[in-house]
Amino acid sequence: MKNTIIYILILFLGACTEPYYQETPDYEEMLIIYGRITDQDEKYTVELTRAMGLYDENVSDEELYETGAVVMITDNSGNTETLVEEEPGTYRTSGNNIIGTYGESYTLRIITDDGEEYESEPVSLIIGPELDTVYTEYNELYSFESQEYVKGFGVKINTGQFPEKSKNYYLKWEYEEIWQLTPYWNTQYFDHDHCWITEQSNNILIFNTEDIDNNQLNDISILNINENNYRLYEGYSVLIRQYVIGESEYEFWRIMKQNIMDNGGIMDNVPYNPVGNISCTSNPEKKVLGFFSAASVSGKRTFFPNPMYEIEFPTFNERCKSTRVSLRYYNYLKEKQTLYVVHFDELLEEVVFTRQRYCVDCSVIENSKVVEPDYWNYKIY
Amino acid sequence: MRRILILIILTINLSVSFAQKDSVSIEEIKNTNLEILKQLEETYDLTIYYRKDWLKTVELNALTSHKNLYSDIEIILENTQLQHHFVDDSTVVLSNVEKVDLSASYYSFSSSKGTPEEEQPLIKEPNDETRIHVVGVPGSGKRIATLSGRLTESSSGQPIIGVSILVDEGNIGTVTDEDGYYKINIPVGYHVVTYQHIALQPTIRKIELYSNGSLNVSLAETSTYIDEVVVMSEKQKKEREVLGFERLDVKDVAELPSFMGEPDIIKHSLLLPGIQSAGEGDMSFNVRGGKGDQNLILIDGMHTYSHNHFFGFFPGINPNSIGEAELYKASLPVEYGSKLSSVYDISIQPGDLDELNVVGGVSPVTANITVDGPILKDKISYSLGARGTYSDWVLDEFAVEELENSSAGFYDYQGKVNYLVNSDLSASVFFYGSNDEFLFHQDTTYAFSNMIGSANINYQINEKTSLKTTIGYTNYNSSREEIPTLEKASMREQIVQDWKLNTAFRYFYNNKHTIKYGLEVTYNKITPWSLYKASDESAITPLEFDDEKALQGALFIGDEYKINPKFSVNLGIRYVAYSLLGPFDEYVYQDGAVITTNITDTTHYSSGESAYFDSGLELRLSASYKLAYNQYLNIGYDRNRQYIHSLTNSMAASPVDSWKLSNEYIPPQISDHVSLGYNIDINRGSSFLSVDLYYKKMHNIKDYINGSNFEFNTHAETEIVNAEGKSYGIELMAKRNKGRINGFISYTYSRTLIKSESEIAEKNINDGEYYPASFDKPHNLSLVLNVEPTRRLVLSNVINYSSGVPITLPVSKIQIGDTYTVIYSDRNEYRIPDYFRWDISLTYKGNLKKNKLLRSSWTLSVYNVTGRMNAYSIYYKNVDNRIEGYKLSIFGEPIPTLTYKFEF
Repeated sequence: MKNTIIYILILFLGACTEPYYQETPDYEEMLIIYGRITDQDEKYTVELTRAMGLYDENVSDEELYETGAVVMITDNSGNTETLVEEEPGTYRTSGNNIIGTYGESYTLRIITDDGEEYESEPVSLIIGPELDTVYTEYNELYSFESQEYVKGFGVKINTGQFPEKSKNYYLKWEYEEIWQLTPYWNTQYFDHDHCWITEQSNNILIFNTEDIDNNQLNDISILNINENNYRLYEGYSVLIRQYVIGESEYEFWRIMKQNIMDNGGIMDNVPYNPVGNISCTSNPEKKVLGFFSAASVSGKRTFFPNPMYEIEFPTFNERCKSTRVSLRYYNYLKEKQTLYVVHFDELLEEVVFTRQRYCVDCSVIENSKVVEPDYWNYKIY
Repeated sequence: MRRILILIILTINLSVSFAQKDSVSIEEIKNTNLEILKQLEETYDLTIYYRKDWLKTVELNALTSHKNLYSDIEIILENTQLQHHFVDDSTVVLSNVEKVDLSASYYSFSSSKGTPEEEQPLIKEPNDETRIHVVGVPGSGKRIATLSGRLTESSSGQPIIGVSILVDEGNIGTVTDEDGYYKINIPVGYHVVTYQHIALQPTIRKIELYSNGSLNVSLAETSTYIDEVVVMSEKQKKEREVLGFERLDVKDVAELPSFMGEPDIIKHSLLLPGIQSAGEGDMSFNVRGGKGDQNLILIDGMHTYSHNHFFGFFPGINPNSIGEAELYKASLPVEYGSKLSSVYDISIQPGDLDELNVVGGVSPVTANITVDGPILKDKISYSLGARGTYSDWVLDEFAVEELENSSAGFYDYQGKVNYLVNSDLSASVFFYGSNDEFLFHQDTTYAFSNMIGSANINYQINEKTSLKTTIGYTNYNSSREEIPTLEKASMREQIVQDWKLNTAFRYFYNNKHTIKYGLEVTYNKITPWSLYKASDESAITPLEFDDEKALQGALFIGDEYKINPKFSVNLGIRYVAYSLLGPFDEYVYQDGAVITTNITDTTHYSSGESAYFDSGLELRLSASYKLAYNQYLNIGYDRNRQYIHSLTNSMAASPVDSWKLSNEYIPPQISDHVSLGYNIDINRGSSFLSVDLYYKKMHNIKDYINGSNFEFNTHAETEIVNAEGKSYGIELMAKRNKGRINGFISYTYSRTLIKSESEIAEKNINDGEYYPASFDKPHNLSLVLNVEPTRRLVLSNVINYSSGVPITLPVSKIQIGDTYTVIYSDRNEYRIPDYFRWDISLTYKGNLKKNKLLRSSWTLSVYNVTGRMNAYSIYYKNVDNRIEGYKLSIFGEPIPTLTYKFEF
């Protein structure tokens, strides 16, 4: 609400924004933990990372991930499962011993490589509404960047009925986008015909049903896709997952979200750090921020065609121009920069090349897989 | 994208005289000499000194009309043995016509305002600099005369070339020629002529010019030391003798550069030492480390809860209607209380008893009109004013699409009726209202309004006792209406209302003691933020809460005790009692730990019952010692208590803050404040220097737990920390009042720290250590500089530099789940960049002749000349998993404004 006041000031007084950089001296070391157990029979994941410098980029895995820790989930019946570090800092259950059950409580225990012990408060699953429908809605939104209205559509959801009408539910949504990409140039030098690129949502989507008189939630916007989105060009799908979380986790995310949104105005709330449910038992002074979550989960996958609402979505491969030069010249150029051969004309001794690798080889794109997912049901043009 | 706004402000000051000029305005005055002089003193704000025995033998001429000071005095003294001499602009000494020099101390003289407090003679020995030189012969009838003469070096007698001769304030001047001669045309009357040469001692001559004549002057290489004399008015004396007292003149403010042509007296006071704000867009101000809610802002005796428009960017009171403003940042007068850090006393100009005046103006933002005049001539006057935004066209200048569905508007009005019953009794009625409304995105409306009504009576009961009574009502209303759909239409509103009676008696016991006593009673009523349906179709659940009500009373007595002419003390004591009135629900907390989860029970107080009582004494002590004729040393201590609090969890005050009355868990804020001040007048009072030191300790000031929210919160105490605060500082000020280059420079070093220590983890902010308050700005430098190269041209500069305010900044980045976010530092651990702003204005005045029908002036002012992008806020965003910081500036570029003003 106070943000609105600042917004009014910006509107009426014509404020301006510029990038700002302030050195914040050496930050304190801090272990960051997020783990989740759900009501599904699936692999549960616990991630251990470390706080980074505010402006650090290209942090090495070694610096970022807390590796070599012993991570255990224990239930109140005494069953324990030790998680396996499948990737650096990512520990997963094998999916046998502990399966999230209503009424049980679960505790996360971690012993890091340096011998410090961490323990979460016991958490239990909460029964809540399920994700019911996913639908889209055409819109034209004003873009401050291009200073014009941009066509697109919103992806929205409705939940199912609340199990208890009088109860407050706290929901968190996460989504995973996946799209198909065919390299612009099909060459003999790389052998993948198509790739599927996934991306996890990185914004915090949470909701508290406190102010809702209804028995279900409608019209919750999950994401918006506009006419400039190249992901829809060949085939695109979104998997939306809805988690029913506890109040303390909701608070945890709410503060996180608040801290990364517009903030810092003199009429804004003074920012502060959330408090997790994990503490260091061997050394209470040790800084740790973490949450061990127990959540009921439900999900829906939706596919989106191109065109949609008469919007023709553009291609990702816009920059894949090719150049045709003599072999001699190509060899000369090759010394100076990386070039990717599209075609070699033996007869004329000429080379057609492009400068971007993804134009010939889509597997280099981050989070790209060359195996078609089994749920993929698109017909390729 | 860059917008340079050229705003043309048209201010029209219409002054229409409906009074017949030839009719007598002063009739049938009893022709006793004393009354004639008193009348003159009042008309021109003078102090006239005389020997009583002289008046016995002469008969002064009564005035039938006022023309101007000089001619009036001449008429009065015509055909008498008396002659007048100006000591300064507001002091006149009468003497026998033969005795022109002032060697006899006029302190042995008397005036209607009593005898001068000191026996020290004006000048011990008369000399050429101190006596008044009569030039020419009276009765020439000319208005302009030529003063001529020759300048010589005193030891050699050689003529001096290039001596500059300045008359009075330096508006008229000349230089001597090759033979040392000079000649200058000036109006007849009293003048102070300054003779200056780079290699010689400057000298002055006081002259009484009657007709053409000459005055030869010799300049010395070394000059004998002459004691300087500082003669000041009662008002000026108060500024010297009262600690932390500042007087603000609207006229001074009007000549300085202003934001979009709207002069703001309260904004202007931020340039004074010890007064700051958290930044642009802060609706309040901080006096010596006090929070924004600790200022008692009085408009004609009644306090207000908000004093500006548009989130603090425009003044709330029409500057044309302000008469005078006085600010006490220490030594609060004993009759005032209820707030911790300051009293800002604004009085509204009474209407003219004599003639009708109309003043109007148009700026890009507002249009205003003020009308005043007599209802019953010389008895009853009125003054009415209104001001408002008249269009959104300025807003259209900003090419922002979103504005299409937004609008902003504000207006204010005030009126005053003054009744001069007789010379002993006067009464006035005053009302004021202001309203702000912002329609935002066509579905959200913010509205803030203010209403004040008061009646004042001043009564001289007898020779020794006078009475001043104020009875008033104030109302502050803040609301937000949201109509996204008819079903969700909601309205939030908070109302703060006070009724107040203040009666103060002043008793002149004798020359040494003046006793002030009286009482103050205030009834507070707060309707806390509530939620209402904004349409009949609305499906929202309304939330309404009981009003909070309290009665505050204060009895006070003070003695202004003049121990001797050099030493005076002011002893004041207030007994303050507060009672929170039922119906009131007080929560019971387990083990006294005031947190939400510990609520075990509720104690209900029924209507009329006292839910919380508190009382205490407040001491107001100060002493002033005159170290020398031009130097004062002042010391003071005050204790203040405050029972009404503005709750906010942001850095600065905003209209959505909640007001709250003290209860069992929200004890009153108490401050103990000691200060020490020294000031000196130099250069015959044209320059002034002061140094002030203060230390303030504050108890139970309101600090907040992380993430506090006071809207619809019936147990605010669970989110409040009753914190300790301390503030200390040194304030320096140098001022030059007169001359072609005038202005002031002020520097303050001060710190304000808060300690929120508690056994409850949430309430133990920053590990219970002292940390800087959100408006703590250690260095603060202001410069006001006016340069007047000619009488028609004025160049004004306002420069403000201060340390950046504290801020809580992200210190590290984390990845949690798939999200990147940040970890923040301790509260207020860092600071935003330093603040610097330079405003400039250049005024060119048209013809200055008084009788010219139309007087006009052009002003070009530039706000933020250097275009410095001062940080209004710093915030961080996650952009593609990179944390990026942004700095938002509200005025990131110079804002020029061109004003044309004319008056007829």
